[in-house]
Amino acid sequence: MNRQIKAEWYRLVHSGHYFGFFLFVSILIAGIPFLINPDYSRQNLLENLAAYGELLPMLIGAVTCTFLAVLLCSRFGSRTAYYEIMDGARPAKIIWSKLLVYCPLALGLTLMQFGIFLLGIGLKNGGGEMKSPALFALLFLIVLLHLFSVTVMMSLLVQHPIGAAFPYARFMLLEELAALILLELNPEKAESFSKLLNWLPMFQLANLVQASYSTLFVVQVIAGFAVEFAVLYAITFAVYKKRLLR
Amino acid sequence: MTEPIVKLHQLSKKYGKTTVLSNFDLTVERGRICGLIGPNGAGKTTLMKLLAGLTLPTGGSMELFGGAENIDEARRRMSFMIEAPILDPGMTARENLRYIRYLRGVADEKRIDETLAYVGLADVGKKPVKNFSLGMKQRLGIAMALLPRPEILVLDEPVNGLDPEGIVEIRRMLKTLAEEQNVTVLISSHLLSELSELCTDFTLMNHGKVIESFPAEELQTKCRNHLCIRTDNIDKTAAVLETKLSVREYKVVHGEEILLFERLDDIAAVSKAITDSGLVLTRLESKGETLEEYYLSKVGAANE
Repeated sequence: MNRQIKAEWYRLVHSGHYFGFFLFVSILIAGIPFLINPDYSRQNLLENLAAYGELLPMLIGAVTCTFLAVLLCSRFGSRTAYYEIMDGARPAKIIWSKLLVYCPLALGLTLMQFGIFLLGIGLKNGGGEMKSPALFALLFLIVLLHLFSVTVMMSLLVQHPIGAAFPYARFMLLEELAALILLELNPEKAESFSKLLNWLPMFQLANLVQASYSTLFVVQVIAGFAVEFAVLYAITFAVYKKRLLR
Repeated sequence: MTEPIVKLHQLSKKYGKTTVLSNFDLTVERGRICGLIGPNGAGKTTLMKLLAGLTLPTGGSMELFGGAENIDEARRRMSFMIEAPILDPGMTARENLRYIRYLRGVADEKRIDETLAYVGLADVGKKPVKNFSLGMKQRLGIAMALLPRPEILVLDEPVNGLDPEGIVEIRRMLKTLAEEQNVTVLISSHLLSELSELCTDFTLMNHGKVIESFPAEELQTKCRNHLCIRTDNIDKTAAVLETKLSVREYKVVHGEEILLFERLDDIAAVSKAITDSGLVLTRLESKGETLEEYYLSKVGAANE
């Protein structure tokens, strides 16, 4: 698997110019609250950080995950994804090499984008029912891994450049739509539905940003990740085992 | 006879209800160059995809390298260029090769320069692939297949887009690989004239089935080489050939010429027998079907 990982990193560093575009979009979006309210007093900066924090789930789900999917799905567009198969790599190696390259990459990009904000929000809001910045960081990491590993495996399943639209469809449209249907149409059951929605990574992210989490929430974060990862991994493994390739 | 390095037995492939490959048998010995010849849709690319592991067979078996190792491990000793070269357009030629070097675990960085020079791209290693012509992309695709020093090379239409000099270069290169390095080559091409110069074995296929397989040594016989004879009296000429030369295998065409399938190496005797009989010989020519003509006649017959 070392060969696959080394080759993939090499290809990422040397191919395409998407990173520049990603950086540009990230800076643009991050600057929106500050552009809207360009008062640089301490109070206003904190308020802008809070506003930026509310954008955080959307930014990660829509921007970072979409970027990840673009990087991966372009491999199927150029058919370079098939080199590993022709090299005799087993399905497990193919999947894990992608996870071990693209998840850390996405984590690094997320931290780069939002590093300062995460530090500030973590120190300020490591509270809720559990006051622990370390726990906050761990939960945040698990949710991010959930988002990124789902993006990687769905890209491997779609095997087409159109897969780049998946993160937006899944994390923005589907989850937001679920929230709309459940919460807006049944406001009296908001609390119950919130507990249900907390199985979804985008809602988990929103709760973390608002420092709203509990023991149940911790269980939902870990179990939600484990279950979805296991199911998607099994499906992706079967697809590559049976060579159901485009 | 060397050991078979590729052995396909009753190999079949179906996509839904469509049978693309049916009970396909093929044996290729080490160091041979096997040409796969067939029309579009015959199953050549599907066969190559099965060998590459890009799809799985629905029936039959594949044995590589004598079956000594599992098929995924065996693929590490093979290289493929199927349908078109698989290149990353965002990288240079050298970077594409270095990607393959890392993926295939080739230790020696110098191998990149060697391979680029081998396919005639030494001067364009730093050029982005998106600016390459079709011929340059084909050469780079071949270079990427050669980089890991495979024991079996599977090439699907490798000379597409190459100029005549490029085609000759590739032919020489593949012949050298087979003769000097014992590399086994499985190649498909629509340029049958090229295949007839290059291959040591031919497999004709159509509708996913083998029509015929034969070595190059049998090509002359298969392509029915003959002497073409014209005289001022064809009937008398036929009689002379039968009585004086005991010839039996011949054909009179349109009452104007005789196609003689015997005595091909004894043109002097044929000429003497005819002229000694008082006949005027107006044409005596050695001819044969090309591989292309033979293939068309076989595919046409198979379609009937």
